[in-house]
Amino acid sequence: MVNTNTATEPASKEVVKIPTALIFAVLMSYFALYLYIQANSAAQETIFVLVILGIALIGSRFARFRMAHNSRAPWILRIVGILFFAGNFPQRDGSPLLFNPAVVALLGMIWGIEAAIQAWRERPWGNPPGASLILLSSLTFVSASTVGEETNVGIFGNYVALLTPIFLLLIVLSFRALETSSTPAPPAHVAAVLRVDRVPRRVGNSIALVRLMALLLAIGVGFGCWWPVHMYRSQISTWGNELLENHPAPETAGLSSAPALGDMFNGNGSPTRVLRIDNYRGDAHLRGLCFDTYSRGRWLPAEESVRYEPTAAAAMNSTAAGERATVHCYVSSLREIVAPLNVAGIAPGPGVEVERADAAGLVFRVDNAISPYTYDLIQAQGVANQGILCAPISPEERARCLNIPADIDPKVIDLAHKIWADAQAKADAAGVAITSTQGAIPQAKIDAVDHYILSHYTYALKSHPGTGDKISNFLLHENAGHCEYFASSAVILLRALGIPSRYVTGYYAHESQGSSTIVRQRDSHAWTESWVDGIGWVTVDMTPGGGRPDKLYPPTAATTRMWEWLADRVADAQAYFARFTPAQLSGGVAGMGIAFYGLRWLIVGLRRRRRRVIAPVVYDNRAEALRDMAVIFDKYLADNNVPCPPNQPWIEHLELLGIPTAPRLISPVPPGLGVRGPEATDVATVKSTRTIDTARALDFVREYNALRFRKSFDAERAAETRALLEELTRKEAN
Amino acid sequence: MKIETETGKTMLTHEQFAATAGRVERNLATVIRGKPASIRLVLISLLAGGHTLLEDVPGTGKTTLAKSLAKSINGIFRRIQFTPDLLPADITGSSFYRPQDGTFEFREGPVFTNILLADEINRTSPRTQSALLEVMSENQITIEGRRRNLPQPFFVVATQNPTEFHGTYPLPEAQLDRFAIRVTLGYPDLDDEMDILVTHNDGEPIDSLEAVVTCEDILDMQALVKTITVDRAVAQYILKLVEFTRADTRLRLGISPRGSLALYRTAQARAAIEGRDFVLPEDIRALAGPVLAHRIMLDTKAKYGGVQNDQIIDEALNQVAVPR
Repeated sequence: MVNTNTATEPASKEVVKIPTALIFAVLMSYFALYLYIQANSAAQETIFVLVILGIALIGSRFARFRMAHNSRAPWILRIVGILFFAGNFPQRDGSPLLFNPAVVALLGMIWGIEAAIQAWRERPWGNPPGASLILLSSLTFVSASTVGEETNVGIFGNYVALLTPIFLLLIVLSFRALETSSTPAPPAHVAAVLRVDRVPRRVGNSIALVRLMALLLAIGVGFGCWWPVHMYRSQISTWGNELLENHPAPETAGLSSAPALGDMFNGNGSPTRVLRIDNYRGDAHLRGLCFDTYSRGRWLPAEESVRYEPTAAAAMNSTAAGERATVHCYVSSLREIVAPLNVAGIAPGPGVEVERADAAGLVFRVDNAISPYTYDLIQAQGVANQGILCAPISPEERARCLNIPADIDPKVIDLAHKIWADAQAKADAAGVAITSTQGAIPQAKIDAVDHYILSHYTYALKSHPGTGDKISNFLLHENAGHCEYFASSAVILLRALGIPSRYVTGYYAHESQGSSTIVRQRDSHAWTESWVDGIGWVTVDMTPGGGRPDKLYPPTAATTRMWEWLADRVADAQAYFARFTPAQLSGGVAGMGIAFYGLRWLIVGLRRRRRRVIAPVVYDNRAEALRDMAVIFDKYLADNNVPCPPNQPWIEHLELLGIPTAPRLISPVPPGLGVRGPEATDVATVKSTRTIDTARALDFVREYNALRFRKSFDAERAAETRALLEELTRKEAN
Repeated sequence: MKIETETGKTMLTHEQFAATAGRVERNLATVIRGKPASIRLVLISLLAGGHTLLEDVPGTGKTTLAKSLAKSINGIFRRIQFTPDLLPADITGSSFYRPQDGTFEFREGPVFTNILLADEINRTSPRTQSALLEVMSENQITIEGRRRNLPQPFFVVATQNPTEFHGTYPLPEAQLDRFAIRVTLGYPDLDDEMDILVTHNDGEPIDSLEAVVTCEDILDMQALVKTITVDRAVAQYILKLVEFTRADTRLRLGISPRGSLALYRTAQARAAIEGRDFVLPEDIRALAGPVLAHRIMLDTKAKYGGVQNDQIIDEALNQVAVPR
């Protein structure tokens, strides 16, 4: 065995006592925290925890037990303590978290728990936890003296000018008792001679003085940092507000409440994500708002002037059967529920209240939009069915949807008739008859107008409004415009041909990500809805293909999509965990921790236990005679309550029984090898056995060894040895 | 009285062997007081043909032990004090140019000796360490193409301080393997230390030490050790112990065949010292610690979890069945 120099080993494992002054300082910080909690009625039931901590701290002065230096018990206590208070953590409601009394009290408790844990840990180098306790008690004290706008100062606050100097005085008093921490304890034999157990008084005083200076310096620095901030706090907050105001406001998204035909549409092409629809397989046109009155370049009725009434979910056919696509809306300024025209039912998500208006087409709107909110679109099979949004047209609505306003140039009406006449002529010329089935003629009219517009007009983001009415100008004099113009023109031309039509704004869904469809603000679009007798409302989009949102803008950057995906996963996780109360979550985490450590402990214990299996005794001798003798001797020992364990030779076993072997031909096991059999007995426990004749036993063993391990087997000697054994066992039988 | 064997070589008897060994031990005990076990271990490693690693704090008598051993067997004693700037040529020797002849003359290094004390072997660079270790394992040196034999018996006592690691090149386990036995002396008891002070009063006791055996006797004893019977069951016991260390998950390196061979030989030497011509399992158990403990390498987790090498060997001895 290697002899290590004892001076470099950690000093004695004696229990280290914390100086009394320091204990009082920590207790005082607990008391301050108690007063703080009392005054602010923040988690009153945690006060008894403070009492427990105080008792634990005092108890550490008298108890001899300490947690081992590398044990996991401190961590378990910390986690249990944090989880215990986790349920009391206040919700985020907008107030500054740092000065919320509940949070401050929680932090103070955490420092307090840590102080109690430090008092109970083993100190292998013989020094009390001076620095840790001073720091932790100071932090607790500071927590208790935190004053914010919502804090009630209470008794402590009134006397803080008195209590703080006492606290500091206690800490300073403890310096004298906290001896040096850098020099190790002298080795035992030196200490015994010199009787060194504390540093000379001179050195102790200077150390205390240095620590006091350090404390004063820290106080000075802290005050020096706090005072200017406090003095100029109003300026600082003003500056902060200015900084926030200069920050560019987030982009607004949503649908215009009264769209006006302008010269630019969706100029910046904002990629802000508006919607995410999962499992959507319907029409790309998601309509939001409908307008049926055109007046001076603007579509009306404006959304603000329409009356919305709350509606129940049943009115939206939210239990209809069909494929469900979940819409997540991320923009709270978009309150309209966008859905394809043929949607069979709409099921609002949890907490979403819907209101409806029937002024110009059926429009649903969310009443209390706090993004993100969700609703389901239910789509039945079949393409051309008429869903809840396709209410049969009333006479008033028909009149409105056929009305051509006075602003429109009469030439436009002529143009419409001309288009239809040309189309009919063409059909006649080609010999194709337009059947008179239900809805065939309106469909043909729509196709004719569509064909005309697509062949005579192109898409351009910028257009010249010109003078006079914008639609007339576009149809008669311009040949390029954006989707608003195309949609408006389609409405007017179709009305001129006797098809009731209205102007619709919404979003064009084209961007897919996995199984979801993403709709961005730049995908906003305008198109037409027409009433075809016999079929119902149909979507008519006459914007050229190159002008639809899927062709207008470059695809979204991969990084943007990645961030959005990440944000969605975080939102999903939040929604999942919001289902549990904090107590349930703490219990779950604690349970998992216990399961993990329990399993590990079990497995290690099992493995260790399995390794203790000792192989059975090896008897394979060359001769039967020897084996018999060995078995008999083992049985003899076992019968006399001194069985020899399989891992020990007989001679060692007999020696361990306390009987000296003489003469010492065999040298003893070197000290420090520490051969220990699992059943090593000492003389004291042998008292209960029948005493065996150990001298004879040793003789036998020596003879046996000479027979067993020699190169040649001596049969004569074997007989003698056998006789020896029989004499030995026979003697005992008597 | 030696016995003639069939081949005509004279062989010692076992009684003579034991007597001679006892003489050497007693001789050494007059100088190194109170350490019979350590002296016996050193003698065992000498007779087994291996080398010894003395791990000890300074001033416990390592040099004295090596010197008195050399004196007892009437052999040459050389000492190398290892320093970080030592070169392999300082150990093995090198050729010098003689201008007057125009030839190269080889000057032998300190390694051409019977007993070599390699002091503080962990204070020199690995290059120099490997030069010495190579010499130890091969018992001959090849310099500039010429092979030179070392004197027989060749026995190395290397020392290292187990507590100071600042500025050292600790021997890796692969090279510690070349030492048959690791021995510590340790501080003597107070009574023995009193004896030391008293005897040193009149002069160094090592000066009055006489030779009790010759080098040829040592060689004969080494030859006899090789003839000690080792029963198959005892050899299997060695292998089971070694297998235990190889299978232990706490060890990165178990015992190598060099280790099992060292245990085999040293057990033979121990049996011979005690006057037996056969090896008992007790010999194996007594030598397992000194011979095997320095050869195993602990896993990081075990090392910092407080497991000691001796603990592993103890467990092996506890868990392997002994042949009866």
